[in-house]
Amino acid sequence: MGINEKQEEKIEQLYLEMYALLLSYANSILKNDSRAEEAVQETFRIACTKPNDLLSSKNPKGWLTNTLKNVLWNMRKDYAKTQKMVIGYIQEQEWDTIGDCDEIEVDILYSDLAGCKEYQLIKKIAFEHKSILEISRELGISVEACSKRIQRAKKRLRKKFKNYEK
Amino acid sequence: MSDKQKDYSKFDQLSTEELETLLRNDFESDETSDMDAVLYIMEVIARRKQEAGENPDAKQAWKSFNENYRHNTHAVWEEVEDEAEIPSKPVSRKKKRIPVWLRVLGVAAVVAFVVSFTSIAKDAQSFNLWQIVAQWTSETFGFSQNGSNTQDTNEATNKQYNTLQEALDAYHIKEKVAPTWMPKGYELDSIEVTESPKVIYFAASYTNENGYILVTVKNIEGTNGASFEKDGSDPEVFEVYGIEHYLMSNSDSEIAVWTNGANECSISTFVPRDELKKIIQSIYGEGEEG
Repeated sequence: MGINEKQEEKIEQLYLEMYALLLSYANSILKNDSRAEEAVQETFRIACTKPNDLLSSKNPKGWLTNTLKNVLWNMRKDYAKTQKMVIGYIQEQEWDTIGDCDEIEVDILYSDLAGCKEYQLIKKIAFEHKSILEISRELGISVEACSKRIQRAKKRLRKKFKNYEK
Repeated sequence: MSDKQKDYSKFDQLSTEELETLLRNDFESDETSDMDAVLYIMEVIARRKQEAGENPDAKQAWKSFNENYRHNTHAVWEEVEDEAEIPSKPVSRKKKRIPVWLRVLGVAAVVAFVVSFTSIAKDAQSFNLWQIVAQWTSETFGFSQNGSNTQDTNEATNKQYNTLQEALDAYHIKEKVAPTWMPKGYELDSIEVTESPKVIYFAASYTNENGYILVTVKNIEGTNGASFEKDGSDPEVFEVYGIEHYLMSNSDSEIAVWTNGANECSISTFVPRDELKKIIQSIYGEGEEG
């Protein structure tokens, strides 16, 4: 990523100044603390890949805010896509059966879908609105490992969902 | 700061909720932001949270950033086609149609999906959506009905309709349930009608470059008016035309549910709540029409 020491100091300073502000913006959109945090972290991840753009900007704080907005749009699209995929898959199943089965553990009916654990992961993302960081802490794994596991789960789900549109 | 030294102190007089609404409007707007104003508002909100003892620990967050996010090649929630690195740059808003949600979408599923969110308190730490969906006819949250809710078959109709009202007219649905106004830029994307012996589902999807509005109507034969049961959660009640509409937020989406005669209706969308209210008002010929 090629950040020199001076740039690193300035970015850290901006981070400490702007973190709470950006978090408040993200929270006003997402209304979810953990996902808002994730959006802000992603904003700074992007910033670290383009230190020159950020630091030479006339308004670095504005640059970060605009980057956050783009992150929020992309995050929203991605989560909506995941929700749609899961709901669409459910529609392919025998929905009426599910509607009548108050007692049956519905997870069992889907256990062949993506492996029970992976399916639980997707549910957390799509409907419980948990951040990757939250889920990784629940599972006791790294964020990176959690992210990869979710990607694998989505790919398996997509293969099963033959009508899914990307 | 702006060379013009604009005075943004008017924002100090607004409540935090009002300021957050301004930020949401800024986010949804296609117009260029007044960045100084946005930053000012962000500072006011952050300052208030600090005064209330709610301010996040930025140093701890910086530590977490370096441990968990900094060295990734893409966003942690982003799906990557291959394991190879992808360029990391701010992704601009793409002018891309949102894919259509609806296929052969039993509107019961959509309503259940929408309704299931309404039974969850906003600050609930966990819930099992699937239990709620499996029990969506039960008392947790829902509309009590006099008639049977079982469906023998669920068939999508092939007929094409130009408007939701046209579809409702075809099935002699007399009640006012179709919006006549949508926010700027939203166009009708699709209308799906699914029939079973006692239930007819209508689902209309409106999209623009960045979002969608989903309107659903479930007409249940043999019912003579459903009553809404609340479980203790506290949706906003928005009364129009003598009908109570229940408005809720879930994450960044807004949802409205209500009944009108034998119809259970819902609207789910990403537009702000004040625009959702205008959509609802248009059903009854109030507010803006388009």
